[in-house]
Amino acid sequence: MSMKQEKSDVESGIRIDRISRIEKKCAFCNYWRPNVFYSFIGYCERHNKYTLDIDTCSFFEPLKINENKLYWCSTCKTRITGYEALQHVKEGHRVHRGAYVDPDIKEELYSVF
Amino acid sequence: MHGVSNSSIDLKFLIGGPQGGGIESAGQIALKTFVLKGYQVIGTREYQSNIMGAHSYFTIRVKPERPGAINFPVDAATVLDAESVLTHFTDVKKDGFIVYDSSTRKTKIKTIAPMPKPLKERLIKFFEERGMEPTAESAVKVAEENGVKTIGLPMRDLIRKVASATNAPLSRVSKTLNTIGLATTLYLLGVEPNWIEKAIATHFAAKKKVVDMNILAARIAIEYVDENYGGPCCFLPEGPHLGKETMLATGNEIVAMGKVVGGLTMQTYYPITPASDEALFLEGHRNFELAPWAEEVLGLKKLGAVVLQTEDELSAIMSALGAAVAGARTSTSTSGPGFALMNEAISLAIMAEIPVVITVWQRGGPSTGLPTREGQQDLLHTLFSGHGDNPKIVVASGDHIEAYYDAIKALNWAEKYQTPVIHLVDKYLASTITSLHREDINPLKAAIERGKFVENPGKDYLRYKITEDGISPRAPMGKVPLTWTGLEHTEDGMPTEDPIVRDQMMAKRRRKFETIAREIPDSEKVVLHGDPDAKITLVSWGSTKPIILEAMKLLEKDGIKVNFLQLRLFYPFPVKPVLDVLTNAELVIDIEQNDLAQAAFLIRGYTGFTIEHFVKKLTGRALWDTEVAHAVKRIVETGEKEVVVSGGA
Ligand SMILES: [Zn+2]
Ligand SMILES: [Zn+2]
Repeated sequence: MSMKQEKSDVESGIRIDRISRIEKKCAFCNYWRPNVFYSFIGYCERHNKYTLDIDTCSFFEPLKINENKLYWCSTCKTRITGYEALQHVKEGHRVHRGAYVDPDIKEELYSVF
Repeated sequence: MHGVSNSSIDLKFLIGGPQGGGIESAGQIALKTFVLKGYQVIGTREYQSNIMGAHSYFTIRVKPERPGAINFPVDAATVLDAESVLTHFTDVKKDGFIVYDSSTRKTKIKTIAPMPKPLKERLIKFFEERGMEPTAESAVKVAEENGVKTIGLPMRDLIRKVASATNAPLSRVSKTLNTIGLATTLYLLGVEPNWIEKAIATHFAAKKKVVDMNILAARIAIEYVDENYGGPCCFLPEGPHLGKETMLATGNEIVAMGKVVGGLTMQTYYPITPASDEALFLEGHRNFELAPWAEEVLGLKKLGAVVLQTEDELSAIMSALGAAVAGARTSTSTSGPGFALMNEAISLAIMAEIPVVITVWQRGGPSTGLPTREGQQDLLHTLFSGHGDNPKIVVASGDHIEAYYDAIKALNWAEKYQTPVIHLVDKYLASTITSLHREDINPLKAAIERGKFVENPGKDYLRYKITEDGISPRAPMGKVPLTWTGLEHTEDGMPTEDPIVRDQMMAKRRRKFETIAREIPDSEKVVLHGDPDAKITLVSWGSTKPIILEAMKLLEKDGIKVNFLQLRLFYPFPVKPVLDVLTNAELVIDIEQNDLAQAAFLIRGYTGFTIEHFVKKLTGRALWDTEVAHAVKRIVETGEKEVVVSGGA
């Protein structure tokens, strides 16, 4: 998929502030991915750094949801489709474009098969 | 606790949070803190099979001498997310405390997706009955009503504080969240900050920046607690082992160490819980340099085995057999489901007389069952594995130290008796960390034995030579032409269906097992713990050993005197030593973590002695000493046939 198409997909998504009450904070921002485990900390793609969910900045943009893409619900701690994401947002869940997994995760996990 | 002697110290606490969210590091730092302070510890992990984000917890017990079991309620709980608050709010005893992230208070039970539905329903009902909202806040309130002190930490603020003090990015600072929770708990348990800092420095060792940041996080946490809740009333005295060199190891690791010391040259495996961590540890130590003292003791500079990860379990055991035929000292490790797939090869190893050690880390079955939980359900499965008449050696370890020596012995037996040796261990042992001193695992106490291994067979060499003890000299592949087959064979290994040879070979293999039964001393087959004249005998096997030993102390305080028959060797079965003990008892109680009471079933089959009373745990959670004591007491007092215990979240 070319960058151009990617962009138009994002643009064609439904802004979450149209379907749910949100605040102008990282937690609801299109550029922000929460840590998989502790979702009050997350990674901002715009600034290439970690922020807290309650932080904000002048580049804030509400998350847009496209039915044909995948999202991360930090309330449910699970991957969901865009179609599902719309429902989760309506129910007040925190939905994001993805999650952030720390590369040091291997130090914390036991092998499970 | 000024003036309190360290002999009365018995601390229990847990650390709970999302799996992968620093629970493991926090648990290890906690264990190291108390080891440095001179105590002995055990710590056991409970985790879910759906790897990331689901609830997991680490339970720790600290005593002057090595604790044999954990139990609940605990003195303190560090619960890092809402699910953990709601899972453990009733697990803390009166006057104990809970440390939690105060921002989780508003979390509603129904929005915690990873929480198992049955638990959600039970919790919602619990709060409904009390007219409370189904939230983490209600859990905190209930804990407070129960006399538990609750310490809410503003995690966001504290993390921000660490970030601004270190100028480090939040991505790195966020990883100190577990340290903030843990340091608070350790401090309130009465550990001076300098011990916590020493443990952090030990844990992160070479990573100076990480050490500094975590120490700072601990200081900020302690400062916050001092200001808002007040510190501990007093500090704990130092333990009796202060300054003594101590090792922390899981059961997986100690078995791997036993194998390496026992001369293992090749390990094969296909990944499966809870076995993989043993092979991964071996992989991490394929060719490691020994410490100077070990170099001197063993006369070796380096140690380690080849580790081969294969495409499945059948391939894992066949590769191990192949290497054994070539003269290697081999083992494979797996758990129940993987062992099921090895079945055919076990029969081959018996027929072709190929040495191999199969370490079976049992977990909750049947089928994939409870992949990350405890179970002792594979005794009969392993004992009767393989088709045809199939004698083999099956040995079960009761604790870390036994598992270490058994790993060495199993390799010796496999080569001496040229047959598969199944080493039964389990998930509880696998994921329980304990403190050990050097003398606990002395490599010199178990020398490497290879039996009738011949480097230079003559041209008249017969691989399956009929001998009085049933054991033929064993030459490796490549010296003289040799034949191995799963078919019945003549002394030179060539297939035959001759009736006379068949009888001779069956008799040879039977004699081999008579040799094994004769040569392995009774002391390695069964162990009777406690007063031989006690009228009540507990029977069990495997990792329940240290738990039952602790339970015996509790029972003694209640005036109930018992002894404990620990079964170690299941094949060949020690009929006489078992009967001698059981016929001497007035009441026999079997304790197992399987529903069939598999050991009792075997005892009946081998000896004709029927055990009538049972204590079982089937939830897959760690067995507690207190549970065992209560159950035994109930049977003694009421004559009840069976008590099933089920403690633990
Ligand atoms: Zn922003
Ligand atoms: Zn959701």
